[in-house]
Parts: sequence; structure tokens; C-alpha cells
Amino acid sequence: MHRQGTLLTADVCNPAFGSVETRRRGEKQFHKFVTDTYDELHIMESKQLMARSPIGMFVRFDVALIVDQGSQRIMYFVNEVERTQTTTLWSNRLRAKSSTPPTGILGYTLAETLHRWLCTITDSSAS
Amino acid sequence: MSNSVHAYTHFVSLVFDRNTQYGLTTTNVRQYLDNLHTLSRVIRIWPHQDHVNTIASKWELSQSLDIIAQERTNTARPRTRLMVDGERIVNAMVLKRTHSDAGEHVIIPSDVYKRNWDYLRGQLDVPGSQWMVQSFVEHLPKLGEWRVFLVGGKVVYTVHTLKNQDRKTWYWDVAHTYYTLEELR
Repeated sequence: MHRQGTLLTADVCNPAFGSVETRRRGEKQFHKFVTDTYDELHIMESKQLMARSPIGMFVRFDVALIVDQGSQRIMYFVNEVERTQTTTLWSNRLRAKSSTPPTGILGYTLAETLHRWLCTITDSSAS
Repeated sequence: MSNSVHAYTHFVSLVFDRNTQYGLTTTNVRQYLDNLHTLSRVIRIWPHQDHVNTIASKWELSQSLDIIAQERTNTARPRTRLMVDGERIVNAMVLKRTHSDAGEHVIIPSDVYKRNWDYLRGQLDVPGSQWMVQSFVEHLPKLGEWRVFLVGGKVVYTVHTLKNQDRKTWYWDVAHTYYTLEELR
């Protein structure tokens, strides 16, 4: 575990120590922040557009860390939201640490999701 | 403005009049949008151009994210507001255009030659675009960001990225494990 105040010296990605329970709690914190933000943004944008927000199909949230000035606690915040066909997928492995590109799974998932979306908007009897 | 800054600004305005990422210029962007509207009448396009133009404005987005942070996630956010043309540009702030082009219009404090109104006014080619100012999160360049890909509302994968500020290169890794926020405190 890091001592308090070591945030700036930490490699914040992929800690390779700590108990399974601690790592699960860290992952849960991260994913809860992302999914809570996604759920709310999808609702807000769909209301605004009076149509389904395109982030329901595909979106990339860029999440970073910020220190809350009042409590001095570390928190996540969404720095950018990318949603179009020109979104960088970070699939070039040249400078990546890991060699397995995860974009294949994204492609299959996107194809299935896009197919469901097309069925919905072309078939009025579909939900 | 000094002569060297003025010369650089002129050079940058010449180079960036043509958007090198997407090939859009101040004269063809309207035609591009009109053509997309015409095309959308005969085929289905995702995402709908109107949706992208309305929702993808970083100002609209910033306001939405502020509300979500305040009311749902109870988390902090950098302060963001629209700029007034000609206002004094504070060094410790990030400048962002409301309609971005592959990150071309995010100006951090070290981009000193872009932090003037000659340059900023020359970058408002996209209809409806404005400049915003946002408080600079100093940890961000040192700690990087997690890029989270969601399809159909589900997280498919997450990549952590870090930019080498000197070499202007990136390196990244697929995120598998996470610190708790308490560990990072």
C-alpha cells in the first residue's frame, strides 16, 4: 500500500501487489464511477435530443485523477468523452506494454450492438 | 506581442487553416455538413450528425458532467467556463475549443505560442464553436488517463495512457488492476 502523499510518484496503473480483496475494491470503485457517469449522461442526452443518445452504441470516457480542494481526497473525473468514428482505439501495439490488442472483442461487440440498433430502428415492432 | 510570437502565430494560422486531421477548411466545413444532411436522408448514419453537433459540444458536455459529478458521483471536477473574446488569458488554465478536432484544440499552459487571441480567433472555423477555459489539473500529465471503451453501455476494455511530454510520444497498457482511491491519497 502507498503511504499518503505518494500520489505523484506512483505508477497508477496495474498495481501488482496488495490483496485480491483490495484490488477488487479498487476495480469496483473505478467501474462504479464510470457506469454511474455513463448512466446519467445517457439519460441527460437522450432527454435533450428526444432520441437515444449515440453513446448507447459506443463511447470512450477518458478518466483522470483530481484532488478535491476541500477534502484533499483523490477522486476520478471524466476529462473527455469521445463518441464518433474517428475515436482513437489505442490499438497500435508498437509502444504498448502488452502485446494483445483488445480491439477484436470491441469489433465483435460493436457489430452485434450495431445490428440490434439497426433492427430496432427499421422494425417498428421491435422493442 | 513580440515579432517572434507574431510571426509564429501567422505561421500557425496558415498551417492550421487547413485541418490536417480531417481535411476540413473554413470554406468547406459548411458544405461537408450540408452533404452529410443530404446523405442522411437516403441512408442511415450513426451517429446522427445533428446529435454530434448538439451533444459533442464540449461546453454542453462540461455542463452535463458538472451536474453528474455534483448530484450522482459526488466527485470534484475542474472548473470550466466560456471565454469572452479578448479577455486576459491566464497562464495556469487550459484552453479548449467547444468543437474539437482530434485534440488539436486543447491548449495547455506550456503551449505559449497558441495562447493569444490572434491564434484563438483563427481557430473558430467550425460553425458555433467557442473557446472555453478550464482549470489545469496538474497531476494529469504526470499520471495519465484511463481510456474506457463502452459498447452498448458495457465496458469492453480500458487502456491507461501516459504522454512523454518531451518526446511527444505515448505509451500505454491495458488496465487489469486498480488502486483503491484510499491507497492513492
